[in-house]
Amino acid sequence: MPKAAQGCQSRTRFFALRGLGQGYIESILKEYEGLESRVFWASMEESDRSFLVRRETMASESILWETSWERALQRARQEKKPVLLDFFNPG
Amino acid sequence: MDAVTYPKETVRDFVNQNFVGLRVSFDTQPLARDFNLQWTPTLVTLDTDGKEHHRTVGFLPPEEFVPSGWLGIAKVHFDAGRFQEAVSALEGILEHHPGSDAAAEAMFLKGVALYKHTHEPKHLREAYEELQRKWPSSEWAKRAQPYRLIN
Repeated sequence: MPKAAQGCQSRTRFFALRGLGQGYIESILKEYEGLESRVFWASMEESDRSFLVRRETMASESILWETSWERALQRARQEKKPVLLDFFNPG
Repeated sequence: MDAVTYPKETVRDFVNQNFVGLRVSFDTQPLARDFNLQWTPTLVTLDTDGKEHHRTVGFLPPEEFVPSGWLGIAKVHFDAGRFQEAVSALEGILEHHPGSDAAAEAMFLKGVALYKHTHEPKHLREAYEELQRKWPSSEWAKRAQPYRLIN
């Protein structure tokens, strides 16, 4: 297995430990040409990988709220988690 | 919730690890109508099909938010017949949040879940006794009163 691909696995575990599900990770990875994640990580420049890590770290400092019903249920099925629906008053 | 509860690390980690969070304005349709939204904040726990299992209305401080969330998770399992998973979530409330408002209901639901899992009535009696001992003035102690007759 290429070294970068091994890095992908450890990063995936890192994200999971921070409470980010595989489905969420995959959704981010899909933004980058839809490459399969291991190939994606292996082909990325280090600066891009750092960007993703920074983005994930920032995201994990707050609750990851979805705003779309369909997207929330899709993630719930992928990650086998219930949905916490919060109706709030933005005013 | 934004000023007090959600910034708390324990709350943030709890939600991110155990739920998919979905946040919408109170006037978002058709959700507000479908869930009969009348007041904010309203928090609803849904299963993966979008079916409601638990609801709270009004502000929840951090120390109540987490046990209430666990109660929602337990109800999702309970309603699906996954009684062991429900008991596990409920025992977490009883162990880590015994002083929370969710604790008495967790004790009641644990007794029912254990009964439904084992068909042994003693679990209902034990729930009644625990409720009398630890939460005697709670509504759940009253709801469990018939179980005092179980031998």
